[in-house]
This record gives sequence, structure tokens and C-alpha cells, in this order.
Amino acid sequence: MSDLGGFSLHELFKGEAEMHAAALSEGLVRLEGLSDPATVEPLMRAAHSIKGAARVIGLDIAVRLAHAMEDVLVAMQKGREAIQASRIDQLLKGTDLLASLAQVEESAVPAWTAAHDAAVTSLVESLRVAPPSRPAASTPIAEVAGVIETPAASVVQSAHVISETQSIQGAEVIESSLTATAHEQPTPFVASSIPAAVTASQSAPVTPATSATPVTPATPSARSTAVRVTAEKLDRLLQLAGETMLESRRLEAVRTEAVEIKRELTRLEDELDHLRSVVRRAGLDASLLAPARGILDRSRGCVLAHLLTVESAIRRGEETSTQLYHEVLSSRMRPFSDVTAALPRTVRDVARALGKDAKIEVIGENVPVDRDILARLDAPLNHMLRNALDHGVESPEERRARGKSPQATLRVEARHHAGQLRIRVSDDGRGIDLEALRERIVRKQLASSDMVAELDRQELLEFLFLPGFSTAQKVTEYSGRGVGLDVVQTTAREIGGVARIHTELGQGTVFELDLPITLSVLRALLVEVCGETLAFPLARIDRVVQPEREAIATVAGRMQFLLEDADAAQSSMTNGSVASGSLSNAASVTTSVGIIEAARVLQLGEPRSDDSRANIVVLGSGDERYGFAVDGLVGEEDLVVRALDPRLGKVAHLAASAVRENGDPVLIVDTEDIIQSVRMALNEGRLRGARPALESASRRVRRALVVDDSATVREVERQLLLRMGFAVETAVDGLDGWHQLRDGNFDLVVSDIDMPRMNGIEFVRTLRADARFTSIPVIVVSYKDREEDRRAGLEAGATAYLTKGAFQDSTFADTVRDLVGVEMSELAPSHAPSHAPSHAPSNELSNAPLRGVEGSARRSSTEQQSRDGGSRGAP
Amino acid sequence: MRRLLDRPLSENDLEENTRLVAQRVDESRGTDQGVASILVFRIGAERLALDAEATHRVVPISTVRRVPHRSSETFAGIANVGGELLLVARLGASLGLIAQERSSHFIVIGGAGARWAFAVDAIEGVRRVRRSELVSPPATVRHAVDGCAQSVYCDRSVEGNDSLITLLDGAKVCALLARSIA
Repeated sequence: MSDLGGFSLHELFKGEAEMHAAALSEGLVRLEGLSDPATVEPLMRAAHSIKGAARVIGLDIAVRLAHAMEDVLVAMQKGREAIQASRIDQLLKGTDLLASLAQVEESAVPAWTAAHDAAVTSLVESLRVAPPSRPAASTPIAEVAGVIETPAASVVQSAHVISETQSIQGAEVIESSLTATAHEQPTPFVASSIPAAVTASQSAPVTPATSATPVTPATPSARSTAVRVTAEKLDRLLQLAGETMLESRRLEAVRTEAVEIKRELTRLEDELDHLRSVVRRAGLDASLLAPARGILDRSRGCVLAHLLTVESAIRRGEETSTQLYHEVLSSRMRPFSDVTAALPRTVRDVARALGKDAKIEVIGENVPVDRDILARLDAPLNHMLRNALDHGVESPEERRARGKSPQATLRVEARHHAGQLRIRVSDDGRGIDLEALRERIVRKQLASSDMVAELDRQELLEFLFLPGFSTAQKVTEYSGRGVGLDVVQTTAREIGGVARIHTELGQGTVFELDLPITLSVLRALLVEVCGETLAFPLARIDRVVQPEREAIATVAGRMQFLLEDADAAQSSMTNGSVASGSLSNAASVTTSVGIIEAARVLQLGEPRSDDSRANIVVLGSGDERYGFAVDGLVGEEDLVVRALDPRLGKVAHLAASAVRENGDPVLIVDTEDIIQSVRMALNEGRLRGARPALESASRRVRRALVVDDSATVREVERQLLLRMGFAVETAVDGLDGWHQLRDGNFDLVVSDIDMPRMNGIEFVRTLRADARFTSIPVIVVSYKDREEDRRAGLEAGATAYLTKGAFQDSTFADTVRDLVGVEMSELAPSHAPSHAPSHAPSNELSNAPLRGVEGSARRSSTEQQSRDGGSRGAP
Repeated sequence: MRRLLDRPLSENDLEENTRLVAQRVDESRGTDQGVASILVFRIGAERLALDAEATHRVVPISTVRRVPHRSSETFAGIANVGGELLLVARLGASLGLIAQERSSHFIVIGGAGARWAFAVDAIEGVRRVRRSELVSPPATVRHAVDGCAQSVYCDRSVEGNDSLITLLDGAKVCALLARSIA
């Protein structure tokens, strides 16, 4: 429905309703026992609160129910109504309904509403009518109801509903049973009415009466199967399950020891045999040794038994712990339908409001998806659908004119593809007009018209993901509200996926998200770099090759080797195609792939190069592929992903950590990030966004670090700096900024003042305190424009202090030029050479040759291409 | 005699003792306010101690992975300690002590969300000492261990320089270790 700073209103409602429902159910029972109107007050307030909360999120069904309950409670408090069991039963039933609603996820609300609408309606009706005047009458009814598993209230309400709709079959039977009980019949007679009531509910399976009755029995069972567990608890369970698995493997050591004892006993037996022959030869009685022999045999028996016990304990321990582990893991998976249930309603509402006609098809509802991912999908799915309805889908008239069906079809599709979860949201609308898009980019001053002309299709479409960029002519309620498609890309990236747009003018648009299937388990390739084990997510690896070192050439200071593509077209489309490596294949295409040593990128030390073959992990896809030289390949393993300790901040090139099957810790590489670094190092100056005139002249792209906690300001600054030819990194606060600054070679820092964790003043002070950054230019951009703020900033060590108004004019750009130099083409930095180490040029990386392979451009025909990732699939 | 006392504790004894002394002293064991339980360990040539209550666990050393761009002289990396991935600092380096020889154990300190492991060369065990025997550290020591020294205990069973045990302030050690990744 709506979001409140990332907090779902529905979540808030659930929490509130749950709390108040618990108070109600407890209080009602107490009220029944005490019959004291004074205790009604808190219950009234609870019902009132639920009503208010439900109204805020437009949950009409809950509003109606809570309202009716509140009325009854008010009547009880004012003494207008006696406190009697039948009434309490009704109220409890209402409470149960509210409590069950409080457990329902937002997406499942329509389903819940549909299932319970009749029950709520009849309950509300019966709450509205005055209670039976004779309290005693309610007791036998409750007994009757108990037998047929239908609470008294629902019999009453069924009767009520039915008496309104006289024509329904079976109504008379119920009425007669009611009449019977209402007349205070003795118990035996009441019992005789049971068959009548049963007949009633059985004989009319489609009447409102029966649709209303099963509510109560269904609710408690639904509640008992779902228990809330916090994500942390689940993570901890997983850790412990993993540890149990390790522990059971450690029992193996006990087994080895037992085997060792057995072996020793055998040697003892040999000794004893030897001794016996000695004893015999000496003419002594060999039976003297018999007791020793007996002990030996018993010991051996014990050891054998012990061994069997240990072995079966190991086997069972491993089985159970493995099962436990997988069970805990799978508890994180939910069907895709969890997030799609509410979509038809959204589409219907939005389409109607926009005067369009559209239907939605959901494919792959049963595809299991990690709950963490599901939880993140709601907003992007909604945005994509709203966007499709608003911008993609034409009006019914327009569609007819174009020869399309007046009703548009939106399709939401989930499936597992190449070890990833692929989600496609497509429409059959008008598609995206690339020319209009180009104009818009230029008008929004996001790029020059020259640059826009050179951008290819995919690059153009990328602009749609920029914050605040919308193709809508006017801001409507349904899309283009400032927040929009950027949510799609941001979410995809945050969970380690990618978002793409495909469009065909006049045919429609497809949004495609490739996401990991689970955030908790990752199939990874483990490699060794400088004695450390690192994991590359298998889904992100193009392939692994082991070329002869001679096959690696250094061309213009960059290492590269030729990569064989069996089918270039295919491999450029799918990241994760299978490399055949067959040279005889006529269709094969060779591509030159730049290599970088993982050891250097990660700053772990000197790469090892004593093998005759290099081990190269190829990342990226199509033309953007880079090889990472690692010291060795360890193997593939399923890793249970754990977030890096938050105290480390965002560590460059790393995504997460994990514990290996053998208990060793391992770090998981952030492939996107590492590709980014390599792209910078290898394709110096050829970065997207750099002005062509500067590209040829500059030897190195300058790097700027933008530190601001506002995503909008970061983006504005990033765009401005990109246009000035900088490569830009962003950080979300001072601490993040400080971490990144230490990792990268930056030429300029732009920072905000007010930020969480480490504010701008502390950040500037910290960096100035470090010898490497004493003279790096730092521009502080803040909303604070008082003189003392300016002074504080400059005293901390800022080179310039600007207010955020500086973006409106050229102040920001001028300041950057003043500080870093007008001509980006000049070689030497304009600022003091004393901090040269702080921007030891990034081409240092690319200039570093793989030892012992310089010069030779010959490619070995025996180039091995192994580990092509063909086995990679859904776990 | 000395050998007996200096004998390293077995893994079990160690865990057991750590747990025992990490608990609040209960009545039956006598709540002598004048007695402190300290966990004595070695880093390099130095005998150091922490209030046993400030230590969370003592576990045998396991593989430490360096964290690219973060690992430094004072920050070692991450290690799996009982299923939990913990940050591992080099206390010796942070304190300005001579490089460690071969580490035997991790000592885990700090509260939830601020937990640290650091490697020590040897664990001597837990000692109960009279608070009156703890004296404020001489200026040289104060300086040497980067302001983390709380007091000094003189172990009379040992002669010479080795008799000195520097009791570190747990909170200050945590703060010092936290600086290793700042």
C-alpha cells in the first residue's frame, strides 16, 4: 500500500493489531469472570485503536469489525447491555478474526478478505443486534455448537443471516433448533437438536451459513503453524546448524583413534605370540600367558564395539546435522506468489484510475525465492507495473487504432535461469521511444547531445534508472513521483543482481531482473590469492581458464590473452555460457581479454607465478570481460553467506563472508565492484561519461570521492563530476568515505557535513591526520551557510566550503576546476606533489606484468579452458 | 613447584575455568571484595592479564583470513570462533609489544556487536589475586602498553622481570582494538 521511510504501514498495523487483539482476548475472558463494567474501558480503547489503525491503511474489513465490537463494549460499559457469555463469545470471535488478520502479510490481505468477508459480515450483523435477553439461553446453544464444532455465536449469526434470506434451504431447521433452545428446554431436548443443526450445515454447503461457520476452527490452526522468528535468530540457528555439521565431522578423529588402538592391540597380540614361543622354548608352561591373552581378546572386543558405536554415531550425526542445516536453510524460502498475490488488485486499481484496460498474468508462482529477496521485491514490482500502466500501456482507443486488443496484458514472470532468479515484468504497450529519450537526457542536462548521440540502446535505457528521471510528461499519482524506476535498479544491485530494460517501439517493454535465488547460500569458486582463500560467486564467473604463461602478452603495458568463444553471440548475451574451447570450431571467435592480478587489486601482496600455467577467472560478459589472475584454484563449494562485520564498513571488492565446510572463514568477492576497479585500471580514460576530447589527452582519469548521506545530493554531485571527466565513487557517510579513501587513489574529495556515524568535520579531520591525505583537495558542500559553520569546516581542513546552492550555478564546477586544474589533460596534478602516493596512478596496476611472461604475444594453442561453469545451476 | 604452576592448562580446564570466573562470584564461593580473578596470558615476552569477567571466551587458535584493504599491522582479519565470524585484532602490535611468536589461543572480549578476538602466545590460567596486591603501573609500563594498563601485579613465585603481570583495562583494550579498523 504505502511506504513510510522504508517502513511498511501494513507492518505497523500488524504489530498494533496483534498487541491489541492479545489485550482484548485476555481482557474479555477476565471481564466474563468478573462481570465488572469498570474493566471494559481498556478493551474499548483496544478495539478503538485497531479501528483507527485499520482506517489509516484502508483495511475496511477490520474497520467494520472493530467498530461493531467497540459499540458492544461501549454499551456494556454504559450498562446498557449485560455482560453475558454469548456476547463475550461473539467478541472473542471478533478478536480472533482480528488476531488472524494481524498475521497476514500485506500481499495476502485480499485473499484473507475474500475468505473471511462473509464471516465478518455476519459477525458484525450479530454484534449489532441486541443480545438474547435471557443469559441462560446461551449456555445450551454453546454446548450444541461445541459438538458440531461451531461456536454458539456463529449458530446465532447463521440463523440471523438465514432469517434474512428466507429462501435458503435448511433455514427452517436451524430456526427451529434455535427456537427450541431459546425456550429454555431441558438438556436432553437440546441434545436432540444436534442432528438438526448438523443437517442444516451439511445440507446447505453453499449457503452463507456454512461459509460463515468454519472461520473459528481454521484460525487457531493457521496460527499454530506460523511462529515469528527474527532474522537474526534464524541466522544464528543456521550458524549453529553449520557448526553441528562440523562437530559431527570432528568425531572422525575419535574413530581414527579407535582404529589406532585396534592396530596397537594387534601388535600386542603379535608380541604375545612371540612371548609364548619364547616361553615354550624355555620349557615353561605357556598357559601362564593365558590370562593376558584373555584380557587382550576382551580389549579387542571392546575396541571393535567402540568403533562400531562411533561409526554409527558419526553417520547419524552427519545425517541429522546435514538435514538440520538444510531444513534451516530452506525455512528461508517462500513461493514467489507471496509477493504477487496483491498485484492483480494493484493493476486493476491503477488501470482504472488511468482510464486504461489491463490484465495481469503471473507465471511461476511456485518458484521458491529467498524470503529476504521476496521482501525486497514488493516495491520494485509495484513500480515496474505502475510504470508500465502509466507509460507503456496505451489507452483502449489508441490500442484499437493500432490493431491491438484494447485490453493490455502485463506479465510478471519468475523462473530460475542459469542459477539465478529471473524476474520479468513485460507489457505489450507502446515501448520506449529512444529518440524522445535522447532529447530528454539532453534537456535534463545529464549529458551533452554529442555524447547522447553516441550512446547505444542499452546505455540510453540505463538513464531511466537514474533517480528522478522519468519519461512522464506530467507527474501523476501512479508513477513519476520522484521515486520510481531507480528503486528497481537500486534494489537489484543491493541484493546482488542486475536490472535491464528491453524495449521495442510499438511492441512493448520488458524489465528484467536477474537476482540470486537466495541470499543465504551461494555456489562459489574458491581460489587462492597470496595464501588467502577467496570466493567468487559462480553465477558471476564467465569461465575459468588456465593458459600457458607464454600465452599472456603484455601489450601497451597491459596484460592480456586471447579467449576463445565457441559462440560469441551467445556468450555476450548470457553471463555464464559454456565455453567449448575447441579451436577447430569454425564458429569460434577470439577476444582479447585484459588480465589483472587479483593479488594486486586486493592489495594482498605479490602474486605467485611458479606454475607454468596461469589461473585466470574471467568475469563480466561480452566485451566487458576481464581476467583475474589468481594463485590457485581450490574448488567449488556452497557457502552460507554472512554479512561482513558492519564495523568494517563497505570494504572495496568484497561482498560478504562465509564459513567453509572445513570451518575456515572465507571472503566473498564483490564481482561488480572488482570489475569496476579493473575497468578503470585497464581502460584508462575510456570511461563512460568522459569527454572524448579529454580521453585521448589524459593519461589517467581523475578520481573523485563523493561523501553524502543523501542519495539525491550524491547523484547530483556524481553527475556534475562525471561531466567534468572524473571517475566518481560515492560513500554514504564519513566512515564509509574514510574506508574508501584509504582504498582508492583519489584526487578530490567532496563531502557533506551532517552525516551519521562520522560527520563531515570528523571525516576531514581524520583524513588530514593521515600523512597520505594532507594535501588532497577537499570540498565541503553543506546546507549550513553560517559563518561559524564555514569556519569549522575550513579549520577541520577543508580546502573549500560551499553551500548546496552551489549546484544551481557554476560555483561547484568552478571550484573543482580551481582546485584540480582546468585542463584534465595535464599530466601532473596541479596540487602539491607531496601526496603523490595518494594517487599513485591506477595504471600502476595495469603496468604490472605477470612475472616472466612479458613480451610474448604468442597464444598457446593448448590453451586450456576448464571449469567452464557448465555445472553451475540452481542449488 | 614452579613447573607445576606454570604448566599449561588443558583445553577443558581452561574453558571450565573461564566460565567459572566469568560468572558473578556467588555467595558460596565467598564474595571477598578484596579478591580479583584475572586471566593471565602471554604476548611475546610480556605477561599480561585481563579481569576474567571482562573476557568472553578463550578458544584455541583457528585460521585467520586477512581482509583485503583492511588488514594491517594491528588488524589481522576474521576467524571462525564457535561458528561466529569474529574480527581478529593484533593486541600485541596495538600495545606496541614485540611481534608474537606462535599464537596458541584467541581471547574473545567485548559485548555484542563490539566483540573482538585477539591471539595470545600462551594462556597461563586464571589467578585469584588480592586487590591490595595490585599496584598502579609505573610510568614506563603505562606508556609501553598504550595507556591500557590498569595496574600491575607482582607474581612472587617468579623472579626477575617475569614476575610482573600487567593487568589491562578491558574497556580500554576494546577501544584500542576498535581503533585497528578505524
